[in-house]
Amino acid sequence: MNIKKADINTGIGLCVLSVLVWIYAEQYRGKGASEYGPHLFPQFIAICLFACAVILIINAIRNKSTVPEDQINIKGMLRVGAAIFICFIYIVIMQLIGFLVATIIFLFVMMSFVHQKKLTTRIIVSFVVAGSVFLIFSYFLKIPLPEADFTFRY
Amino acid sequence: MNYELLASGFAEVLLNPYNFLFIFIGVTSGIVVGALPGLTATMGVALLIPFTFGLPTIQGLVMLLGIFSGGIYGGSISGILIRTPGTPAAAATLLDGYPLSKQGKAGPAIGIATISSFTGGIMGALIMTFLSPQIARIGLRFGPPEFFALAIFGLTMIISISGKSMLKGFMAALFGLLITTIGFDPISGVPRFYFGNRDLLGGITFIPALIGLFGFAQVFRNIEKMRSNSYKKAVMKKILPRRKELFRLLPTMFKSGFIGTFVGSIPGCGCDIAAFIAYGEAKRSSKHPERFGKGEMKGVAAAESANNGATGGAMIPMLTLGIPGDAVTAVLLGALTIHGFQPGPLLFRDHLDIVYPIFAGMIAVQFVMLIVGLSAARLFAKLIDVDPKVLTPIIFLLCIVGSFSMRFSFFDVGLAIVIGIIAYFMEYYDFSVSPILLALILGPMAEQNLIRSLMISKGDISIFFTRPITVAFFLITLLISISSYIRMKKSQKREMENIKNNSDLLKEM
Repeated sequence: MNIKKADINTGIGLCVLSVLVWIYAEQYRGKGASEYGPHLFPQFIAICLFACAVILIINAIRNKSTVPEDQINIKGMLRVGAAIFICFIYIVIMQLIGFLVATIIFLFVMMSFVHQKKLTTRIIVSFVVAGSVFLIFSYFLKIPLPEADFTFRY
Repeated sequence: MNYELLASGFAEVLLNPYNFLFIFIGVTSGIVVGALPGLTATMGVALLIPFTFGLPTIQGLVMLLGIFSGGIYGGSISGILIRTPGTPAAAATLLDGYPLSKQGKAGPAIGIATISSFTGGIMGALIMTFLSPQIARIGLRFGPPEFFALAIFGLTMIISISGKSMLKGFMAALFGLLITTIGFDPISGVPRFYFGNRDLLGGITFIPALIGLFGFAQVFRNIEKMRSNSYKKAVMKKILPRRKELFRLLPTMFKSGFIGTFVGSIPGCGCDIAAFIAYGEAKRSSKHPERFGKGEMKGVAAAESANNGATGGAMIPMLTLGIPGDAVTAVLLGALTIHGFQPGPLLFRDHLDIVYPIFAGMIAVQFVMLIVGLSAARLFAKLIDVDPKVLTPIIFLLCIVGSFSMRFSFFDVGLAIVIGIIAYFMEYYDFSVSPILLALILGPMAEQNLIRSLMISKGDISIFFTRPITVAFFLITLLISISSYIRMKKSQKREMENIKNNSDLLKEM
């Protein structure tokens, strides 16, 4: 997709968003203590956003779009999608087997995923970093991290 | 001012080596906490208050001041190195700090950040020492219309951080302002845009948003561009900046330190707002505004000097009026109360034996911070030399833990990831994400004070144009907007001409 199309699509998307915000905020009219209720600010922002989105579309049509440095890299985006998937699995597993073990596995898997070839590096970094983060957050900063028994450490 | 008592207060702090030991512990802990994404200086001070209970009052207080200043400074380290600001105050630092790091200048960037933090911190501490009552009186004159005008003034800094397109910068800021309307309305308490999700009732929490916008987005970009080829170690040259460069930056540091102290002294305005305003001013007054955002040392110097200047500034209303200038000083106020002192005018009448050592402690903290920061600069900068295939998963982990640690909530982690995905795509389409952050900081202040002002004036908008401070802010806003716009257009024209000349030269070759 070229930048002109991207700007037009973004502009249309934001126009739709601002109209939706306006309509949704209407339900808050009259709910506040004063006449300047909770609807006022969101609706004001929605009007401004709509106006800016229309200017963006006009600029794109008149070929005044700014040119991005990067071109879209589909393979790279798929890699990002996979990394986010690994992250969500990690968050779920962390609540089942606890922070420390889940983090060791997560770091090892992530390093393998980004092609860190040295096995020893992957193993050492996984253990050292997971252990250090666990110690700093749990003991030094007293921040409760998930443990294996579905409870939090306080 | 009683200069005899002031001198004895300074002597009490500076002549006792134990005080320096506790300042050192405070500053070092503050830097560590500040550098970890998700852990703010506020959290650092709150976490370490219990350690001061067993200490003599002065030593406990100077240690807390060390955590405060160290925490604000420490945020810049992760901002510069991994584009994930450790604290919100460092969000403006990364705009130029990270590009410098990418150019192999992480060492000098950290060096400048340290020296600027010291300069700003010293200015803040000195102004706090000698001008506290006078500045506190100005801060007291701020009502809702003045705060609204200040928020609008702060939002004009969007011009400075919009990237290539000002229109897209404004759109990003408007999107950020829309995000701030999620959750309870600050005036009426009506829940808005929460779609039945209780986790959204309190609004979008700032720390996950910050980590998402910068940390996760950067991790995603790193993963996208990751190749399987082997990594070559970068050759690290100089760590400290050259003397000539340092002298070039001194005026920016002094000006930003002053701006930071003033903004910090207004109750409700924190170090983050101070940093953005100083950054915008540094860019506006620069001969080469086009260099900002691409690795300009002045950008780092302005942001860091201002946010550390604001630490001294924020102490002013806390000590003189008992009104905390920001979240950290609110916690410090609690700490003083725990130690048996009630900040406010009576503190200056009854406990000058505590007030003057606090002033002296704030100055001593800046020197210790300078020494610790410069000594460790090489160590910090080495982090950038770690293989990206090892560093990226570690940053990923720190972003996850950082967004979790604020409220111990996995919802916040999910939220940070979603914001990270949005930020990742925004940069693809040439939208700068920094205006969103500025809107998140200033949006609630703008909305609350707009509605309050309208309620006070019963809908008469002349309230914004009849009060001297408000009029002054609006006039400055207008002047800065116009001059920034003209300068930006000129600089864009110059850049286009350069590109054209270069392509003509290439054609001739």
